[in-house]
Amino acid sequence: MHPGIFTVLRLARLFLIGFFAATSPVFAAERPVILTTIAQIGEPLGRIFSGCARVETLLGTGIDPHLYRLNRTDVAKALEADVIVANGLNLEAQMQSLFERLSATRPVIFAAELLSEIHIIRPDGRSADPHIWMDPNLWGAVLGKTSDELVKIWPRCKPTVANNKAIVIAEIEAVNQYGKSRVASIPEQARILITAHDAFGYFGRRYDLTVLSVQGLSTESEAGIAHIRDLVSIIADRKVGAVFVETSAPERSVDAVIEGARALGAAVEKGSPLFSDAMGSSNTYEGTYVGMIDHNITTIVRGLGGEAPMTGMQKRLAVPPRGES
Amino acid sequence: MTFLQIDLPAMTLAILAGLTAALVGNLLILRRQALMGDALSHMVLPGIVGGYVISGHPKSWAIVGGALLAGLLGAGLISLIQRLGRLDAATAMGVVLTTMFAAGVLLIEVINISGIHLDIEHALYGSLESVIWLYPVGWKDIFNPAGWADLPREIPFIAGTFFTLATAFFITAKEIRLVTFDPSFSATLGIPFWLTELLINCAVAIAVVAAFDAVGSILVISMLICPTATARLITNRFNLQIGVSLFIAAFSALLGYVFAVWGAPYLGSPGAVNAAGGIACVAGTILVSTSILHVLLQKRA
Repeated sequence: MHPGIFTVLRLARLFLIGFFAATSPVFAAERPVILTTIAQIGEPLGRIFSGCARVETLLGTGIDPHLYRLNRTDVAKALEADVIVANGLNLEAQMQSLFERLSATRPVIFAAELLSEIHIIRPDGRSADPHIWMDPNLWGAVLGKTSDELVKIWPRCKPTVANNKAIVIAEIEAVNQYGKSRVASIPEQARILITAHDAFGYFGRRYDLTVLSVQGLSTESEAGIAHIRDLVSIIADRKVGAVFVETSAPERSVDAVIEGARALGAAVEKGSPLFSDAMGSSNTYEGTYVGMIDHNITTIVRGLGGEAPMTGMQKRLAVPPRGES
Repeated sequence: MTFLQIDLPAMTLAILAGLTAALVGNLLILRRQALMGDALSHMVLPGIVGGYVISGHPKSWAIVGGALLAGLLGAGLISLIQRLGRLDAATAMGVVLTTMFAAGVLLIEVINISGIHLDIEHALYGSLESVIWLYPVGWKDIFNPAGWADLPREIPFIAGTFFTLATAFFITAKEIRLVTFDPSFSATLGIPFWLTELLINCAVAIAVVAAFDAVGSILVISMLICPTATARLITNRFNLQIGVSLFIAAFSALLGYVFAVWGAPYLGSPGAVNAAGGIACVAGTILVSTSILHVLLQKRA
């Protein structure tokens, strides 16, 4: 017999073992499992519920919710979860029918939708901008309301959660105050935040920055020439110090804007990348919610000519914002 | 039991969608319109945007309806351009797909929907993974009619599409063969060529857009082309070709799913990979290896 046949048989056996391992019933863990979609919910919620529930996150390190595709492993995780917490406001549109089906047998909480309507930005009057986490003050409220909903489900978590929630929300409020005081150091006429795509609406509203985007939000749309010309003249007139790129959006149209403004004599830099949808890698400061916001505030403030320490509020930012180096 | 709740419905849907796409693919490839699936996936954009403007919601029936209308319009335009411009099908499709896609992009700019996540794959395209059936806990539950009401709507929907198409195909098999293989002779028999052309294009548009909504574009586009192309290498007989393509479609759906879900971890993936992608890869691999085998056999002969 050909020796290759043994390899084939061994592979087939491995395959079958994997098959049955994957299909055998999973024993419920003692602690309830909360499955969150984005890390902006999962990381702080994990700290709030530490010791009482296990919090897992579907869209881990550096995964952009726009590009995420479901896979069977994640569906199995969702099926095992006792409660699912998603952002809502159509951020997770590709998971919507899955959530609808899962909600028959367990609660599915849409965290951002717990906010009252006056806080929601609807750019065209109808559809909501889902990027609430860009405003730390609002996001603290979202996390608080979500924790309250979860405590209703597991009352025995109440004491632990009350304690942890106060700590986590105080930390978020600290970064919010940091943002307020630092943005105030930017020259008033330069308080314009230009980014590649429209994820910073809530951020701009909180800190009184005019937010303009090069590209618009949809992945199908492209920057029009007239729009780029407008941006270029704004940068030159108001002496805007930087245009920011994001890890998830193409840089070419941003480059076009910067080149155009420089041709008009403006001293504009390309700011270092901001975290818009995905956070930094786990186990780094930028991989925490507060760290992500600290990074964004520090990068934006320094880029626009304001004063902020290079390592941020907590002196823990790893990468010094570009333009300084 | 997670197999019954996750994998059984997903595999069933993958097979049904594969069969539907392969059946349509037989029409397309013989009429040199293999590009149709890709063309439709772009032509639906203005319809999606229009549906969004009407409903104000990125996931709604208006969007599916808009996509269907845009698909039908595109199919009609392709027939028209082909006929009036005396162009071949690929050229007509190329023109219509870019024009309609561009119109969709313009529409997005004009109505200025910045601030919204309108990615087409999320607005229209479904996925095998979201098709879960929570009812069964043991094998015998599958046969309990009480649980069938819980069955994900995609499954009866695609099953219905498949059986309607298969019936229509069966009834009009003679006409389809005539129009496909000998259009000028069919014209002398009084079957107007443009009418059958238009009817076939519309049927294709409906089936493909419905399948996009249920399982997403990657799976559908690959299943439109790969099984029929493989079957063409194996046989020249029309009926056999259809049978072989359907078999290959079902086989790749099953094998691709198993590969994506249980095979990928052995290749170093931290978990399962996207099933539609796995199925498309398997269908492509089957086509490529059949082509190589075909060449080798011809050399020997």
